[in-house]
Amino acid sequence: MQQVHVDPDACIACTTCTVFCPVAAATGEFAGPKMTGPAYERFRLSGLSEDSSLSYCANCKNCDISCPQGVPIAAINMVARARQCEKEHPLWLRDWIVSHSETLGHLIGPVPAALKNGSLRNPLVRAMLDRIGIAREAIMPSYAPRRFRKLLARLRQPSTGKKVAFFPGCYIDLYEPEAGLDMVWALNRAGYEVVSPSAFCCCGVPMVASGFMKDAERNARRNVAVMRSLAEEGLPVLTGCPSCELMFREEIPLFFPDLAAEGLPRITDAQEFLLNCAQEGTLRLEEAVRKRPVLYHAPCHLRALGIGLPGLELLQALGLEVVPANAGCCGISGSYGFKKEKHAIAMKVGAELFRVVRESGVDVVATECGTCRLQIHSATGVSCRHPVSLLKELARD
Amino acid sequence: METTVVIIGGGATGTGILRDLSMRGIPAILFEQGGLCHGTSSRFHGLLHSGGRYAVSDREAAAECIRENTILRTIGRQCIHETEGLFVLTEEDDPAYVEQWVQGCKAAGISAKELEPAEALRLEPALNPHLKRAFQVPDAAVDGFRLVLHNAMSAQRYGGQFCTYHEVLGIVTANGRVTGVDVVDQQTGQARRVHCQIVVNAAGSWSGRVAALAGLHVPVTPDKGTLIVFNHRCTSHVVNRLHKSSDGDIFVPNGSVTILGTTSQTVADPGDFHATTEEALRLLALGRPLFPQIDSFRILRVFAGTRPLYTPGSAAGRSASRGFHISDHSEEGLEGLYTIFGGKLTTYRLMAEKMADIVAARLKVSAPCRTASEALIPEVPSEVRRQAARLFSVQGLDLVADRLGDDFASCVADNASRKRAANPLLCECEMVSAAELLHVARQPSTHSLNDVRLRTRLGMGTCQGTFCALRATSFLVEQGICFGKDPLNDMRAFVQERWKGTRPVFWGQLAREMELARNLYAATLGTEPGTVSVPEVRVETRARQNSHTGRVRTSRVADLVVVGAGLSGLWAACVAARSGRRVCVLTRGAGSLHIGSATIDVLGMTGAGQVLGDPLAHIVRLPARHPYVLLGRRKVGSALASFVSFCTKAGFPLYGAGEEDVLHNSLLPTALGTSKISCLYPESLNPAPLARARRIVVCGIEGLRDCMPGMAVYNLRRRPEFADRMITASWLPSPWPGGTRTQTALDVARTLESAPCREFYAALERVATGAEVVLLPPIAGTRPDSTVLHRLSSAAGCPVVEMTGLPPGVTGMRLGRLLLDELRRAGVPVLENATVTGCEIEGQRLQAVRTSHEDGERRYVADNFIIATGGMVSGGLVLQPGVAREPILGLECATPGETETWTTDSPFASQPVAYLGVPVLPTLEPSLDGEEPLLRNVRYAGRMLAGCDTAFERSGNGLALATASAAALEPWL
Repeated sequence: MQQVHVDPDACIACTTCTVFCPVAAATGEFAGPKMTGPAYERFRLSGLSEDSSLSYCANCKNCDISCPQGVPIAAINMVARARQCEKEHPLWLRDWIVSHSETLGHLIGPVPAALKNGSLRNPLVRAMLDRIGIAREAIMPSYAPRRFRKLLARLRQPSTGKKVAFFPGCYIDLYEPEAGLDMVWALNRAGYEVVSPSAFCCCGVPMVASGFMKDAERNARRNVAVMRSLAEEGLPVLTGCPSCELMFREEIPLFFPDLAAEGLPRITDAQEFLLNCAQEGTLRLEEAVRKRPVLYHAPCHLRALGIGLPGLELLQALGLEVVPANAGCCGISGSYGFKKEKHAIAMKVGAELFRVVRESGVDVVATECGTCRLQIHSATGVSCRHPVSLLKELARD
Repeated sequence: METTVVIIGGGATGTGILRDLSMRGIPAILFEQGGLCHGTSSRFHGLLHSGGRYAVSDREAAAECIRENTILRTIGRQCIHETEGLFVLTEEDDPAYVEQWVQGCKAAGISAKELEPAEALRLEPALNPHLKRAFQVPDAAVDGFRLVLHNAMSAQRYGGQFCTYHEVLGIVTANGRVTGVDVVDQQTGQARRVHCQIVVNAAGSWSGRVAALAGLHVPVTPDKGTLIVFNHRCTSHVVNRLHKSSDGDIFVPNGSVTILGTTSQTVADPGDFHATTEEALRLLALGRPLFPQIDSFRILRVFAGTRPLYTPGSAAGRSASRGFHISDHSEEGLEGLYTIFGGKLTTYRLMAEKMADIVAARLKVSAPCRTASEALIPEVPSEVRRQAARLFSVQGLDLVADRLGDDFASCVADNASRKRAANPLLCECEMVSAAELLHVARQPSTHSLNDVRLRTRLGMGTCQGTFCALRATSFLVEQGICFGKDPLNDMRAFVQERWKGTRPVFWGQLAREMELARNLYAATLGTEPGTVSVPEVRVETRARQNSHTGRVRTSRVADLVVVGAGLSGLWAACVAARSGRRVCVLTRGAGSLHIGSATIDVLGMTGAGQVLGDPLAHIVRLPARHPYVLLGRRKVGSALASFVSFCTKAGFPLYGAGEEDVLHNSLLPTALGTSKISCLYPESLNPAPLARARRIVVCGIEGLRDCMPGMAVYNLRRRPEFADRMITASWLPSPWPGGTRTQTALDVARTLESAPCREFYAALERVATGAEVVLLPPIAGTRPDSTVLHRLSSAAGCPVVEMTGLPPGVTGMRLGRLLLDELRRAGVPVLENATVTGCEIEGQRLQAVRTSHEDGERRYVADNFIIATGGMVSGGLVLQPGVAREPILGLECATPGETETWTTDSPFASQPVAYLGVPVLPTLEPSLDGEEPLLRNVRYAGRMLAGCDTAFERSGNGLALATASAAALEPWL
């Protein structure tokens, strides 16, 4: 890992981040973003040992979103966590498993999905996983029979002469390929052929969150190389996942500045891209076939991107009544909610959102983030879809 | 009083001599005019020289340095950070110097290993990438104060005594011999004579003055050096410029900060600690070749000290020797008086040894010096560490053990029964906990919060005392410790001392911090009337328009774009949305609404004094370009009235308007027992029940550091209007389930909102028996309703009133939520984390604002724009040396005069800097000349407006609402 240092100087100790931190609200074990971030950073630099409270940061970035001074608080925490994990990494195996789903997917690839999923629901397997620190109660995502990129390779797309590349992210690639195909449908409809190079790998966000900064760096280098060659071909790279997007846009420059120094290829929010197409008239969006109210949950990492909520606007463009849930973080923060000692906190963080979902009476919630969908669906039983999937379902042909 | 040796001066040399003599069994007493280390030993960069700096100019001093450096590392582990040092040759330095320097180091026995530039950059990534050569030397960082304290502690163990705040007024002589000294205790004013055989004058820069008491002259010249403290360890090694010693060429990472020094200037007064802007700017310029990004390092403060240079003949400043000198005044006919001066902190022990050798020889004591072989402070026994681990956090443990030295074990023993939860951090920036504070405060040598600061570093971190001064004073009063006649005055003095060091460098992030501080002080300690000086400001525009840095992604179109989501931004959006406009809010950060108390302070203070009665009636007393004056009383009044009616309709009524809705100011109780002047406030803060109540109970919550009921009661009782009341303090058990972090009022408020908390309410019922009003910290829930408040008052059986206090203010969250909910209902999108970085201007119209992102820019097109980005705290105004900028339109106010004149001596008074801002017309359109608008569809609202000092006036939220209403209605009138 490079000797990166995220500057804590902009902090004026105003406590805004502490007010908006969902984890601090849920547990007294977390000292809060200001303390573990900029305040402790001044002491870390003098060689003081790490506070155990650091492990509670979920990297949801509500601190960054609320900070009026622009302090990259969560990044300070993640760099500190990486340093700490280099020295000592309790629950290494658990953390490796929950943060390397793609590698794990490759390793157990040949095993049929039904068997994989069955064993993830098997109480004995869960008891075993619980022993190594994966919460027994946590509902894990189910493997899809075929990965998104395999399915895409077989798909016959209309050739339009215009191409875009799609970065699927692990969730769509491994667990929800149909959402990826929905995206391809929408992009095709907007006049673009979609490629998704097999060389793309996990963006690294889960690795960062679990202290595997070196692995995240390796992946970042690989992905950036792919993106550079796509850029040379003139292909825009799109993603439907806000966390992946955040990695390429905000985190690589902070964590791997030398990689960013050479100029980062751009990544584009797929929802925003589609919205632009709709505004320009290349994507036809008329009245939805069925008008049912949709509750929209804005993933924290999307809010952190500072681009507004294009997924919500896309659904509104169908004339749907889209109600923003405005109930904060769902709690899962990628893999945080799978961790045994964090599961209860994750559920507590999400409680307000679950209440809003239940009380809203809607039968579908839209949100861009895969693990948010998993969390909301697991906690409330309400169906949860990617906005572009809903778009496909509800748009007129 | 009688002793053998009197030592004058409680710096490193004096305490070093005290230790040495005491270890040799020679009775000695030390007198210091201020606190320990009040002079030069704490006023330097904290460099423990390897000697490299003197390798060419003064080889003898260099050799002394490296010997002493090695000794101090072994005897003073707790005071020294073995950082190692680098000497760096930059492009601007003479390469020919390197050879003589390397030779000099070799001759002096200093290891100087050359590093490849790439290796140096790997060790210190912030160094100038164009550096030419780098050498590693055994420099280290030393905490001067701690070193002095630990010397004194070591001396005490051997029977040595020291008296601080004792000034020597005279040296008593008889028959050409010293027989004693006359001293006065500055705390009590009591004078006494101390008989002795020998007097050692180790008063450093003051030694000339001490010698003069005996009619003698010593060639000592005070030489002022100014230093800059940066907020964090920007470097992990000491970094020196490899050139002939000069100003501003040493960076020392010291504790949690980095210190850059120094300048050199001969001064007449050894107590001249005045640092100037000019000196600070010069230091920054000099430091730039080593660290090109120095301007982005956050400055905490500047300070100065005086070197006691030995200047026989005409040498001065840099050319004066850094060696030390001992004068035996028997040569001038006075037996028994010695003066020791010159030298530097690194060689203090050697100086003390030489001095003690002479004293011992004279007294015919043959015991040898043992100071080089015995540690100043014995290591902490593992049993004590184990006990301490229950009391302090993991990181805090080493810090506190090193800081307290000998006192650590007794501090741990005193607090043996206290658990971690009962030992909250009172200073979060420097990690000072309640137990440490209490222990230090109880020492006989501690007379003020400033004394506490020197021993603990309380208030020396990022916030510079903004939060901890209030917490520490409250906690101590609660424990029955009052510094001075009035603890609030002691706190003011402390805050003032912190303020002093920030004035010459009042820009950047430091200015934001101090503006936050000023607002907090004003809300708790109040402001002081006095002359209000509004500077003449020249404004220019450098709009960054039509920036084409990348592809434009999305255009969003609205009737009105509001930039900023503080009170003014949110209210402007509400007003416009209510009149049917399509509004979009862009914001970076959540604004300061949620952390404040969100009372609507309309106008509480003018130059003429406190405003009682109707604040609107006092608008006429405000400066001519004040936004209230521009809007006029009627518009301000109607804006406030519409806000009041909005809050009432939303089920969150505001109080404070009296008969026929005429506003009147009220005094709201703070958690300190002081009052905060305000005008409109929600039910929970309504002080009306307090006016009638004969029996008042003030409740604290166990573990909640921000509200100490004893402090509140102490100060309430001192206020004449409460003279005949019965006021008592009580503690309630905390309903918060707890955890390892320090509890806040927000934790309690959330718990009361979500759990039954029966035990808590039962306890409240008990303590409130017979009370007519109960004062509580702000815990009545986080939502804009009165559910929790009513539960509290029904348990208490009487009205409860919340006291306002430190952020997070909880009461502000309620108002924040109320406004955000309203915007949600109105379908107004609030785009978070969207920093406006550019704008598109055509003619006199702003077409769009842009936010920039890695993937290009996004534009937001609208007919009208309201900029409500806040003042200096929120970045709506950015202070840079010589200029205040409004970053969106690029308006620049050229600031008049020197930086020092932007602020006044007292942080509680009105500050000229606060009146800088965006000049507007009565329509709130920006205007450079006060006649023509710069743009016709842009309006400003809130604290960035020119002509007001909202912290001093207590007018922030009133101004935010009045200008927001006007700005939102104006375009469509």
